[in-house]
Amino acid sequence: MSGLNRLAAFLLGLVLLALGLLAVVEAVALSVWDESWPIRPLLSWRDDLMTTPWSDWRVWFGGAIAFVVGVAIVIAELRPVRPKRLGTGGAKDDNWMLARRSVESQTADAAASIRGVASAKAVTRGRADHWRLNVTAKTEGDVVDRKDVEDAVHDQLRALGAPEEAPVRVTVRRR
Amino acid sequence: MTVTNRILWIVIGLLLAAAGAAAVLVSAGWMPGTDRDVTLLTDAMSRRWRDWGGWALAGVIVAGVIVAALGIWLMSLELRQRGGRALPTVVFRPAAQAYGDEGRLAAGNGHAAGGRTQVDTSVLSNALKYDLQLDPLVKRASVRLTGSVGKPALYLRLQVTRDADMVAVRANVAAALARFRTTTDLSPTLRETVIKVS
Repeated sequence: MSGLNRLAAFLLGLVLLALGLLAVVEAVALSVWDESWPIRPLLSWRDDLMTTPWSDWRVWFGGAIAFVVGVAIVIAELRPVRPKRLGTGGAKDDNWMLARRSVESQTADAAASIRGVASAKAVTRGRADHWRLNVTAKTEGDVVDRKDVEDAVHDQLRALGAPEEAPVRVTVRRR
Repeated sequence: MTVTNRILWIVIGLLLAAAGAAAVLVSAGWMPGTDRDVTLLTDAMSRRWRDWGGWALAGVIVAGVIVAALGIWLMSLELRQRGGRALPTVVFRPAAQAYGDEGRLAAGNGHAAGGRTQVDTSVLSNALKYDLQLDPLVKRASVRLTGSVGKPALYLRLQVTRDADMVAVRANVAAALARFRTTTDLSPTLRETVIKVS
Protein backbone atom coordinates (compact mmCIF):
# COMPACT_ATOMS: atom_id res chain seq x y z
CA MET A 1 0.00 0.00 0.00
CA SER A 2 2.76 2.43 0.88
CA GLY A 3 4.49 1.75 -2.45
CA LEU A 4 1.24 2.41 -4.29
CA ASN A 5 0.73 5.58 -2.26
CA ARG A 6 4.19 6.82 -3.14
CA LEU A 7 3.69 6.13 -6.83
CA ALA A 8 0.27 7.79 -6.80
CA ALA A 9 1.63 10.82 -4.93
CA PHE A 10 4.52 11.06 -7.39
CA LEU A 11 2.10 10.94 -10.33
CA LEU A 12 -0.06 13.54 -8.62
CA GLY A 13 3.01 15.75 -8.34
CA LEU A 14 3.66 15.24 -12.04
CA VAL A 15 0.07 16.15 -12.89
CA LEU A 16 0.27 19.28 -10.72
CA LEU A 17 3.50 20.30 -12.43
CA ALA A 18 1.95 19.78 -15.87
CA LEU A 19 -1.25 21.64 -14.95
CA GLY A 20 0.68 24.52 -13.40
CA LEU A 21 2.91 24.93 -16.44
CA LEU A 22 -0.07 24.61 -18.75
CA ALA A 23 -1.94 27.33 -16.85
CA VAL A 24 1.06 29.65 -17.15
CA VAL A 25 1.49 29.01 -20.89
CA GLU A 26 -2.25 29.43 -21.55
CA ALA A 27 -2.39 32.69 -19.59
CA VAL A 28 0.63 34.06 -21.47
CA ALA A 29 -0.85 32.99 -24.83
CA LEU A 30 -4.18 34.63 -24.00
CA SER A 31 -2.59 37.84 -22.80
CA VAL A 32 -0.11 38.17 -25.69
CA TRP A 33 -1.97 36.71 -28.67
CA ASP A 34 -5.54 36.76 -27.33
CA GLU A 35 -5.66 33.10 -28.36
CA SER A 36 -5.72 29.88 -26.42
CA TRP A 37 -2.59 27.70 -26.77
CA PRO A 38 -1.78 24.81 -26.52
CA ILE A 39 -5.31 23.81 -25.45
CA ARG A 40 -7.10 25.12 -28.52
CA PRO A 41 -10.62 24.20 -27.35
CA LEU A 42 -10.20 26.08 -24.04
CA LEU A 43 -12.40 28.99 -25.13
CA SER A 44 -15.09 26.70 -26.52
CA TRP A 45 -15.01 24.80 -23.19
CA ARG A 46 -15.64 28.13 -21.49
CA ASP A 47 -18.63 28.69 -23.80
CA ASP A 48 -19.88 25.19 -22.94
CA LEU A 49 -19.69 25.97 -19.23
CA MET A 50 -21.69 29.13 -19.83
CA THR A 51 -24.50 27.14 -21.46
CA THR A 52 -24.51 24.02 -19.26
CA PRO A 53 -26.82 24.24 -16.25
CA TRP A 54 -26.18 22.47 -12.93
CA SER A 55 -29.20 20.27 -13.68
CA ASP A 56 -27.40 18.75 -16.68
CA TRP A 57 -26.98 14.98 -16.37
CA ARG A 58 -23.22 15.29 -16.90
CA VAL A 59 -22.86 17.38 -13.75
CA TRP A 60 -24.85 14.84 -11.76
CA PHE A 61 -22.88 11.93 -13.24
CA GLY A 62 -19.50 13.59 -12.76
CA GLY A 63 -20.39 14.49 -9.19
CA ALA A 64 -21.47 10.94 -8.42
CA ILE A 65 -18.22 9.53 -9.85
CA ALA A 66 -16.15 12.02 -7.84
CA PHE A 67 -18.06 11.10 -4.67
CA VAL A 68 -17.59 7.37 -5.17
CA VAL A 69 -13.89 7.71 -6.00
CA GLY A 70 -13.34 10.03 -3.02
CA VAL A 71 -15.03 7.62 -0.61
CA ALA A 72 -13.12 4.67 -2.08
CA ILE A 73 -9.81 6.50 -1.54
CA VAL A 74 -10.68 7.34 2.06
CA ILE A 75 -11.75 3.76 2.83
CA ALA A 76 -8.57 2.37 1.24
CA GLU A 77 -6.37 4.71 3.24
CA LEU A 78 -8.14 4.09 6.55
CA ARG A 79 -7.67 0.32 6.30
CA PRO A 80 -5.08 -0.83 8.81
CA VAL A 81 -1.75 -1.43 7.12
CA ARG A 82 0.49 -4.18 8.35
CA PRO A 83 3.99 -2.87 9.00
CA LYS A 84 6.78 -4.04 6.70
CA ARG A 85 9.23 -4.20 9.60
CA LEU A 86 8.79 -5.55 13.11
CA GLY A 87 10.67 -4.45 16.19
CA THR A 88 12.86 -6.88 18.10
CA GLY A 89 11.81 -5.45 21.42
CA GLY A 90 15.29 -4.58 22.58
CA ALA A 91 16.44 -1.51 24.49
CA LYS A 92 14.89 1.82 23.60
CA ASP A 93 17.78 2.70 21.30
CA ASP A 94 17.88 -0.72 19.72
CA ASN A 95 17.00 -0.18 16.11
CA TRP A 96 17.23 -3.72 14.80
CA MET A 97 14.13 -4.74 12.92
CA LEU A 98 12.90 -7.88 11.22
CA ALA A 99 11.25 -7.97 7.81
CA ARG A 100 7.65 -8.99 8.51
CA ARG A 101 7.54 -11.47 5.65
CA SER A 102 10.68 -13.15 6.95
CA VAL A 103 9.12 -13.62 10.38
CA GLU A 104 5.96 -15.02 8.85
CA SER A 105 7.68 -17.37 6.41
CA GLN A 106 10.25 -18.63 8.91
CA THR A 107 7.71 -19.34 11.65
CA ALA A 108 5.34 -20.97 9.17
CA ASP A 109 8.19 -23.20 7.98
CA ALA A 110 9.05 -24.05 11.59
CA ALA A 111 5.44 -25.05 12.26
CA ALA A 112 5.28 -27.06 9.03
CA SER A 113 8.44 -28.96 10.02
CA ILE A 114 6.56 -30.72 12.82
CA ARG A 115 5.60 -34.31 11.99
CA GLY A 116 1.97 -34.51 11.00
CA VAL A 117 1.63 -30.87 9.94
CA ALA A 118 0.77 -30.73 6.24
CA SER A 119 0.96 -26.97 5.88
CA ALA A 120 1.17 -23.90 8.03
CA LYS A 121 0.53 -20.22 7.70
CA ALA A 122 1.75 -17.42 9.95
CA VAL A 123 0.36 -13.92 10.05
CA THR A 124 1.52 -11.01 12.19
CA ARG A 125 -0.88 -8.45 13.56
CA GLY A 126 -0.46 -5.20 15.42
CA ARG A 127 2.08 -2.38 15.19
CA ALA A 128 5.75 -2.55 14.39
CA ASP A 129 6.73 -2.04 18.03
CA HIS A 130 3.99 -4.21 19.52
CA TRP A 131 3.06 -7.18 17.37
CA ARG A 132 1.66 -10.67 17.76
CA LEU A 133 1.83 -13.80 15.70
CA ASN A 134 -1.02 -16.10 14.65
CA VAL A 135 0.05 -19.47 13.31
CA THR A 136 -2.38 -21.90 11.77
CA ALA A 137 -1.12 -25.44 11.23
CA LYS A 138 -3.16 -27.81 9.10
CA THR A 139 -3.02 -31.58 9.41
CA GLU A 140 -4.26 -34.37 7.17
CA GLY A 141 -5.82 -36.17 10.09
CA ASP A 142 -2.65 -37.01 12.00
CA VAL A 143 -2.61 -36.21 15.65
CA VAL A 144 -0.41 -33.22 16.24
CA ASP A 145 0.41 -31.90 19.66
CA ARG A 146 -0.19 -28.18 19.64
CA LYS A 147 2.61 -27.78 22.18
CA ASP A 148 5.13 -29.18 19.69
CA VAL A 149 4.09 -26.61 17.10
CA GLU A 150 4.20 -23.81 19.69
CA ASP A 151 7.69 -24.83 20.82
CA ALA A 152 8.94 -24.92 17.23
CA VAL A 153 7.51 -21.47 16.56
CA HIS A 154 8.98 -20.04 19.78
CA ASP A 155 12.38 -21.55 18.97
CA GLN A 156 12.30 -19.95 15.54
CA LEU A 157 11.31 -16.57 16.98
CA ARG A 158 14.21 -16.83 19.43
CA ALA A 159 16.60 -17.63 16.60
CA LEU A 160 15.34 -14.57 14.74
CA GLY A 161 15.96 -12.38 17.74
CA ALA A 162 12.27 -11.58 18.07
CA PRO A 163 11.02 -10.16 21.38
CA GLU A 164 10.35 -12.79 24.04
CA GLU A 165 7.07 -11.18 24.98
CA ALA A 166 5.58 -11.26 21.45
CA PRO A 167 2.25 -13.10 21.87
CA VAL A 168 1.95 -16.21 19.77
CA ARG A 169 -1.32 -18.00 19.07
CA VAL A 170 -1.11 -21.41 17.49
CA THR A 171 -4.13 -23.12 16.01
CA VAL A 172 -4.04 -26.70 14.74
CA ARG A 173 -6.75 -27.58 12.28
CA ARG A 174 -7.66 -30.53 10.17
CA ARG A 175 -7.61 -29.88 6.44
CA MET B 1 6.55 9.42 4.64
CA THR B 2 4.02 6.62 4.72
CA VAL B 3 1.89 8.46 7.25
CA THR B 4 2.24 11.73 5.31
CA ASN B 5 1.11 10.04 2.11
CA ARG B 6 -1.84 8.43 3.82
CA ILE B 7 -2.94 11.78 5.26
CA LEU B 8 -2.50 13.41 1.85
CA TRP B 9 -4.72 10.85 0.14
CA ILE B 10 -7.33 10.93 2.91
CA VAL B 11 -7.58 14.71 2.50
CA ILE B 12 -7.79 14.35 -1.30
CA GLY B 13 -10.44 11.66 -0.93
CA LEU B 14 -12.50 13.80 1.45
CA LEU B 15 -12.27 16.85 -0.82
CA LEU B 16 -13.26 14.78 -3.85
CA ALA B 17 -16.18 13.20 -2.00
CA ALA B 18 -17.33 16.60 -0.70
CA ALA B 19 -17.10 18.22 -4.14
CA GLY B 20 -18.89 15.29 -5.77
CA ALA B 21 -21.64 15.27 -3.14
CA ALA B 22 -22.10 19.04 -3.48
CA ALA B 23 -22.35 18.74 -7.28
CA VAL B 24 -24.99 15.98 -7.00
CA LEU B 25 -27.00 17.89 -4.41
CA VAL B 26 -27.00 21.10 -6.45
CA SER B 27 -27.74 19.22 -9.67
CA ALA B 28 -30.71 17.46 -8.07
CA GLY B 29 -31.99 20.70 -6.56
CA TRP B 30 -31.55 19.42 -2.99
CA MET B 31 -29.07 22.05 -1.85
CA PRO B 32 -30.90 24.98 -0.25
CA GLY B 33 -29.93 28.42 -1.52
CA THR B 34 -28.89 27.18 -4.97
CA ASP B 35 -30.62 27.15 -8.35
CA ARG B 36 -30.08 24.05 -10.46
CA ASP B 37 -31.05 25.94 -13.64
CA VAL B 38 -28.14 28.37 -13.29
CA THR B 39 -25.22 27.65 -15.64
CA LEU B 40 -21.88 26.39 -14.35
CA LEU B 41 -20.21 29.59 -15.52
CA THR B 42 -22.51 32.59 -15.25
CA ASP B 43 -22.48 35.89 -17.15
CA ALA B 44 -21.66 37.65 -13.88
CA MET B 45 -18.53 35.52 -13.42
CA SER B 46 -17.50 36.18 -17.02
CA ARG B 47 -18.05 39.93 -16.58
CA ARG B 48 -15.99 39.97 -13.40
CA TRP B 49 -13.15 38.14 -15.18
CA ARG B 50 -13.19 40.75 -17.95
CA ASP B 51 -13.31 43.58 -15.40
CA TRP B 52 -10.18 42.26 -13.72
CA GLY B 53 -8.43 42.58 -17.06
CA GLY B 54 -4.73 41.74 -16.99
CA TRP B 55 -4.87 41.01 -13.26
CA ALA B 56 -6.97 37.92 -13.93
CA LEU B 57 -4.33 36.41 -16.20
CA ALA B 58 -1.57 37.52 -13.83
CA GLY B 59 -3.41 35.69 -11.07
CA VAL B 60 -3.59 32.57 -13.24
CA ILE B 61 0.15 32.78 -13.92
CA VAL B 62 0.94 33.10 -10.20
CA ALA B 63 -1.43 30.25 -9.35
CA GLY B 64 0.11 28.15 -12.12
CA VAL B 65 3.62 28.74 -10.78
CA ILE B 66 2.50 27.82 -7.25
CA VAL B 67 0.78 24.65 -8.45
CA ALA B 68 3.83 23.66 -10.51
CA ALA B 69 6.11 24.28 -7.51
CA LEU B 70 3.82 22.15 -5.33
CA GLY B 71 4.06 19.40 -7.92
CA ILE B 72 7.86 19.53 -7.93
CA TRP B 73 7.95 19.53 -4.12
CA LEU B 74 5.63 16.53 -3.95
CA MET B 75 7.70 14.59 -6.51
CA SER B 76 10.94 15.37 -4.66
CA LEU B 77 9.37 14.19 -1.39
CA GLU B 78 8.45 10.87 -2.98
CA LEU B 79 11.90 10.41 -4.48
CA ARG B 80 13.62 11.00 -1.16
CA GLN B 81 15.04 7.84 0.30
CA ARG B 82 14.75 6.68 3.87
CA GLY B 83 17.09 8.57 6.12
CA GLY B 84 17.33 11.68 3.99
CA ARG B 85 20.16 12.85 1.76
CA ALA B 86 23.25 10.75 1.25
CA LEU B 87 26.40 11.79 3.09
CA PRO B 88 28.36 14.28 0.98
CA THR B 89 31.85 13.49 -0.27
CA VAL B 90 34.22 13.13 2.67
CA VAL B 91 37.53 14.95 2.68
CA PHE B 92 40.37 13.52 4.76
CA ARG B 93 43.28 15.68 5.76
CA PRO B 94 46.32 14.21 7.48
CA ALA B 95 46.99 15.71 10.90
CA ALA B 96 49.96 18.13 10.96
CA GLN B 97 53.08 16.11 11.82
CA ALA B 98 56.07 17.56 13.69
CA TYR B 99 59.44 16.96 12.04
CA GLY B 100 61.36 14.16 13.72
CA ASP B 101 58.40 12.47 15.43
CA GLU B 102 59.43 8.88 15.71
CA GLY B 103 57.72 6.61 13.26
CA ARG B 104 55.98 9.45 11.47
CA LEU B 105 56.56 11.05 8.14
CA ALA B 106 57.52 14.66 7.77
CA ALA B 107 57.72 16.56 4.51
CA GLY B 108 60.99 17.88 3.17
CA ASN B 109 62.45 20.51 5.43
CA GLY B 110 60.40 19.88 8.51
CA HIS B 111 57.10 21.46 7.65
CA ALA B 112 53.92 19.49 8.38
CA ALA B 113 52.70 17.08 5.66
CA GLY B 114 49.78 18.52 3.67
CA GLY B 115 47.31 17.38 1.06
CA ARG B 116 43.81 16.04 1.18
CA THR B 117 42.01 12.90 0.13
CA GLN B 118 38.51 13.12 -1.23
CA VAL B 119 36.43 9.98 -0.85
CA ASP B 120 33.04 9.56 -2.44
CA THR B 121 30.36 8.28 -0.06
CA SER B 122 29.62 5.34 -2.33
CA VAL B 123 33.19 4.14 -1.82
CA LEU B 124 32.71 4.16 1.96
CA SER B 125 29.31 2.49 1.69
CA ASN B 126 30.65 -0.21 -0.62
CA ALA B 127 33.63 -0.85 1.64
CA LEU B 128 31.34 -1.43 4.62
CA LYS B 129 28.98 -3.48 2.48
CA TYR B 130 31.77 -5.82 1.37
CA ASP B 131 33.04 -6.12 4.92
CA LEU B 132 29.56 -7.08 6.16
CA GLN B 133 29.19 -9.61 3.34
CA LEU B 134 32.39 -11.34 4.41
CA ASP B 135 30.31 -12.82 7.22
CA PRO B 136 29.08 -16.23 5.93
CA LEU B 137 25.76 -15.61 7.68
CA VAL B 138 25.12 -12.51 5.59
CA LYS B 139 24.14 -13.21 1.99
CA ARG B 140 23.70 -9.62 0.98
CA ALA B 141 24.13 -6.25 2.65
CA SER B 142 22.89 -2.82 1.72
CA VAL B 143 24.46 0.24 3.32
CA ARG B 144 23.23 3.80 3.28
CA LEU B 145 25.24 6.65 4.78
CA THR B 146 23.32 9.85 5.36
CA GLY B 147 23.59 13.05 7.34
CA SER B 148 26.67 15.26 7.51
CA VAL B 149 30.35 14.53 8.11
CA GLY B 150 30.00 15.83 11.64
CA LYS B 151 26.85 13.78 12.29
CA PRO B 152 26.71 10.80 9.94
CA ALA B 153 23.97 8.17 10.15
CA LEU B 154 23.84 4.62 8.92
CA TYR B 155 21.00 2.48 7.59
CA LEU B 156 21.66 -1.20 7.02
CA ARG B 157 19.69 -3.92 5.26
CA LEU B 158 20.99 -7.44 5.76
CA GLN B 159 19.79 -10.54 4.00
CA VAL B 160 20.88 -13.44 6.22
CA THR B 161 20.83 -17.21 5.81
CA ARG B 162 17.93 -19.26 7.12
CA ASP B 163 20.00 -20.72 9.94
CA ALA B 164 21.67 -17.44 10.92
CA ASP B 165 22.15 -16.91 14.62
CA MET B 166 21.14 -13.32 15.32
CA VAL B 167 23.52 -12.99 18.25
CA ALA B 168 26.42 -13.87 15.93
CA VAL B 169 25.09 -11.53 13.22
CA ARG B 170 24.88 -8.65 15.68
CA ALA B 171 28.41 -9.31 16.91
CA ASN B 172 29.76 -9.38 13.36
CA VAL B 173 27.98 -6.16 12.46
CA ALA B 174 29.38 -4.48 15.57
CA ALA B 175 32.89 -5.64 14.60
CA ALA B 176 32.48 -4.39 11.03
CA LEU B 177 31.30 -1.02 12.31
CA ALA B 178 34.27 -0.81 14.67
CA ARG B 179 36.63 -1.44 11.73
CA PHE B 180 34.78 1.20 9.71
CA ARG B 181 35.18 3.77 12.49
CA THR B 182 38.87 3.04 12.86
CA THR B 183 39.53 3.18 9.12
CA THR B 184 37.50 6.24 8.25
CA ASP B 185 37.54 8.17 11.51
CA LEU B 186 33.78 8.55 11.01
CA SER B 187 31.42 7.45 13.76
CA PRO B 188 28.02 7.09 12.15
CA THR B 189 25.01 6.47 14.35
CA LEU B 190 23.39 3.19 13.42
CA ARG B 191 19.83 4.37 12.87
CA GLU B 192 18.29 1.20 11.55
CA THR B 193 19.19 -2.38 10.75
CA VAL B 194 16.59 -4.45 8.94
CA ILE B 195 17.05 -8.21 8.82
CA LYS B 196 15.56 -10.27 6.04
CA VAL B 197 15.86 -14.03 6.01
CA SER B 198 16.10 -15.96 2.77
